[in-house]
Amino acid sequence: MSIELSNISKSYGESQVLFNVNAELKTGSMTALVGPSGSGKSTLLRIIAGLEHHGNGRVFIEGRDVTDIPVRERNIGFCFQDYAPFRHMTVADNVAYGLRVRKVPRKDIRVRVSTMLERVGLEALADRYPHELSGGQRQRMALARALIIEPDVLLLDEPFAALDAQVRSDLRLWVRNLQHELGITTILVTHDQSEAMEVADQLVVLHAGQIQQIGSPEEIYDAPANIFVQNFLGPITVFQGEPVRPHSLRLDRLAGATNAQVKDVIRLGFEVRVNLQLADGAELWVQLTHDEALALSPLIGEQLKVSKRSDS
Amino acid sequence: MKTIRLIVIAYVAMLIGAPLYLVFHEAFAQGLQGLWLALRDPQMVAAMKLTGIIALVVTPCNVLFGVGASLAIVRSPSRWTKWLDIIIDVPLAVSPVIVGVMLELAYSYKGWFGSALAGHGLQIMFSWPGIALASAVVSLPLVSREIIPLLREVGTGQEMTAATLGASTIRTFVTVTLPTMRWALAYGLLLTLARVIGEYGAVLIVSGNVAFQTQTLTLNIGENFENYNPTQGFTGAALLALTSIVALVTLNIIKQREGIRREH
Repeated sequence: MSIELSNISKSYGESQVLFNVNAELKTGSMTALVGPSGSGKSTLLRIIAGLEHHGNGRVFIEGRDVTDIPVRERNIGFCFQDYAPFRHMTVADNVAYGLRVRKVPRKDIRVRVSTMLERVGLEALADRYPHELSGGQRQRMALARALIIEPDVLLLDEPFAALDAQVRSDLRLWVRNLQHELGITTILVTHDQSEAMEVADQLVVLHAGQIQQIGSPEEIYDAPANIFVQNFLGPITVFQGEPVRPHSLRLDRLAGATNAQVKDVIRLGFEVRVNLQLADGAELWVQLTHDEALALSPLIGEQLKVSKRSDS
Repeated sequence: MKTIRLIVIAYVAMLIGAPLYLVFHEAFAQGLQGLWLALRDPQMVAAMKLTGIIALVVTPCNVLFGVGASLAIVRSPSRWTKWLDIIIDVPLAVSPVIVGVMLELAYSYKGWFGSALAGHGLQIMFSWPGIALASAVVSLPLVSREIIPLLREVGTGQEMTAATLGASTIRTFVTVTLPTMRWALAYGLLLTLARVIGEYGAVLIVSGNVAFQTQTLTLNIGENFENYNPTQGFTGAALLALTSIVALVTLNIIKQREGIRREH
C-alpha cells in the first residue's frame, strides 16, 4: 500500500482536469500513468510530488498522509521531462545537491556521489558540465541526483520523450533494471502505451481526468475495461458489431462466416494490413503476418471469408 | 562585397571613430600637463564625486528592483505584474526630459509628494536625491529586460528540482536561480551603471545644475562647452567616453561567455 491516492480532484479555474481519482500503488512496483495528452496524468504526478496543490482528496506515501506536507519535506525523487540539470554545476555537484541540502558531512557526500556516479555509469564525467553531456547521459545524471537522497518514491515525467529512438529503448531497459535492483517505488508518466507496457508492472490508464483501468499490462491488453482503453492500447477494427484487434481475425478463401472484398493490401515489414469491405458497405481491416500473407496472397478485388481466430 | 565593407567602415569612422578620436585628441591639446590640470579642476572633481555617489546609490537599488520585479513578472504572474511589466518600460519610451518634468511635478515643493516631504525638511528637487531619482527612473528597465527573457527560457524545472531535493526557497534562489542568471545580471548592472553615469536630460531638469552642489559630470561637460572652455570639456568627455569603452569591452566579454554557454 505504498502510495495511496484518495479522491483526488483538480481544477484550473473553470476547467476540471482530474475527477475523483483513487488508486493504490504497491511498494517497490513500477507504475505507468498512461494516457493521451490532456488526460491529467502529468498533473496527477505533480500532485503526488507536491508540486501542485489540489482542492480535496488525500495523498499517502508509505502510510504517511503527505497531503499538507510541502514538496521539500516529502522525500521524493522527481525527474522532469527535460531533466532540468543545474546548468552552472558539474555532474558531481548536481548529484551532490540533495545531500548538501541535508547537511551530510562532506566526506560522506564524496563517497556517496562517487558510488552513485559509478552505478549510473557517469564516473568518468563527474567534472563535466550538463551542456557537455548527451541526452541519455543527462537523464542518467538526473536519475542519480534524484536517487541519491534515497527517496520513498521516484517520479518520472515523460522520462524518454526527449531522447532519440535508439537511446530511448536502451534507457528504458536500463531504467527498468535499475528500478528492479533498487526496489524503489516508481511512477512514470508517458503518453506512449508501448513504452508503458514494456517498462511497468502496473498501468493506470487515464482519460479526460478519470482513471479508465488499473492493472498489469497483460490484463489491460487482454481484457480492456472499455472501448477507450482498447483503442488506446492498440489498433481495433469492428467485426460483427464488436470492436476487435485486427490480428485476432483470420482470412481464408473457403472457411469463414462473413464475405468481404479486398480493397487494399499494405505491407508494413513483418505485418501486412488487408483493408476489406463487407457486403453492407462497412469497412474493416485484418492484420496478417508476413508468412500468412504470403500463403494466402490476397488479390485486390477478390472475395475472402473473415472469421475470428479460434486460438486467440 | 568589398565596396560594401568599405562603405560600412567609412560610415562608422565618420560617425564614431573620428569624433571619438578627436575628443581624446582635444583633451590632450594642452599636453599632459594641461590634461593633468584639467583633471584636477575642483569643479570637475566635485562633479565626478557627485556622479560617483549617484551611481553607487542608484545601481544597487535598481539591481535589487530589477531582480525582484523580474521574478514577480515571470514566476508569479498576475494582473498586477502584467501592469508592472508594461510600466517598467515607460522610461524607454519617453524622452528623459519628460522624465525630469514628471519628477519635478511630483517632487518639487509645490508638487504632490514634494510638499509633504518638504514639511519634514526633506528637499528632493535641486538636490542629490532628485538626481538619484531621475537616474533611477531612466535606468529602471535595464536589469529586468536582461533577466526576464533568461528566466523565461530557463523555466522552473531547476527550481522545482531543488525543492524536491529539500532546498528552501531562499536556498533555491541563492544556489540555483542567482547563479543561473549571473551573466544576464552582470550585463544589466553594467548597462544600468553606464546609463546612470551618462544621463543628461532628466538630470538637467531636476538638479538645478549648481556647481559644486548639484552638477554631475555630464552637466559639467555641458557647462564647459557653453562657457568656451574646451580643454576642460574635452577632458571630462574623454573621461566619460573611457568609462563607457571599458564598460562596453567588459559587456562584450560577458556577452561572449554567455553566448558560449547558451549554444549548448
